[in-house]
Amino acid sequence: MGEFRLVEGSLPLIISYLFWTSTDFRLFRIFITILTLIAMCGFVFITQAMKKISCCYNIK
Amino acid sequence: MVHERLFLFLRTSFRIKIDQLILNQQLIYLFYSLLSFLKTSIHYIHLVYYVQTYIFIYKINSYSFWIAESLFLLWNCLNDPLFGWFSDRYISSISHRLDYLTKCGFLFCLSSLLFWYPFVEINSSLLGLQLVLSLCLYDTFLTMIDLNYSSLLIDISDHKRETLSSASAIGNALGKYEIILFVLWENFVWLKVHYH
Repeated sequence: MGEFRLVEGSLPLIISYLFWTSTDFRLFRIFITILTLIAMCGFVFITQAMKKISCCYNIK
Repeated sequence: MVHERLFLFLRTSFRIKIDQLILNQQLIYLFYSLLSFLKTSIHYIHLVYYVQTYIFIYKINSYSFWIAESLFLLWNCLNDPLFGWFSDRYISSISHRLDYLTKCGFLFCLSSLLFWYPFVEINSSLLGLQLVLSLCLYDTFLTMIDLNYSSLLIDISDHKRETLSSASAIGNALGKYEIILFVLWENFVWLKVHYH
């Protein structure tokens, strides 16, 4: 469980701090904007699909 | 003969219905996991990079930064119980919760962009105001998402709660690796620019 916690939480954080370079902020901004747009569409699509499934089959 | 055909027809259609139901239940697990993935991928990047961005790139002064963080601390103490009470009192059905997740998910993503696009000039003293506004808006939508997402677990699962919980944990873990995707992408673009 401890190993899983490390993989789940702390390891990506450590890796990100090791690799962080503030030299190209423009590139980071493009990446984050694309990711945000994908997440935005994903939220709408997934929640509406879940709503349709739960309505059709009355999943409880 | 007619009875047999009718039985066969009913059995076949019943089996199809059962198969569809199982498929849709599995899709519910997948969608639940994906929601967790999307939320974590946005939240984790925000969590790791916003302090560094404000300090090293926007060059916010330490006084404005700590005032903004203190105001956010107060708002964070207030909004969690406030929205929890609101959620318990006014949101009851699954479709209602999913509607809230649609709206709050969309606004949560929009509010996360506020951190990366400054309204004012870099080094400006008004950066503190932007930071506190961004943090409060972002945290409000995050709280709404977390509340409805956690309540959805109880609403949509009757006896498969542990499967849904595991699906959520997997989505959560995968969402944290978005940062590595960014690092790989950054290196790829850097190599492309420098070797062409």
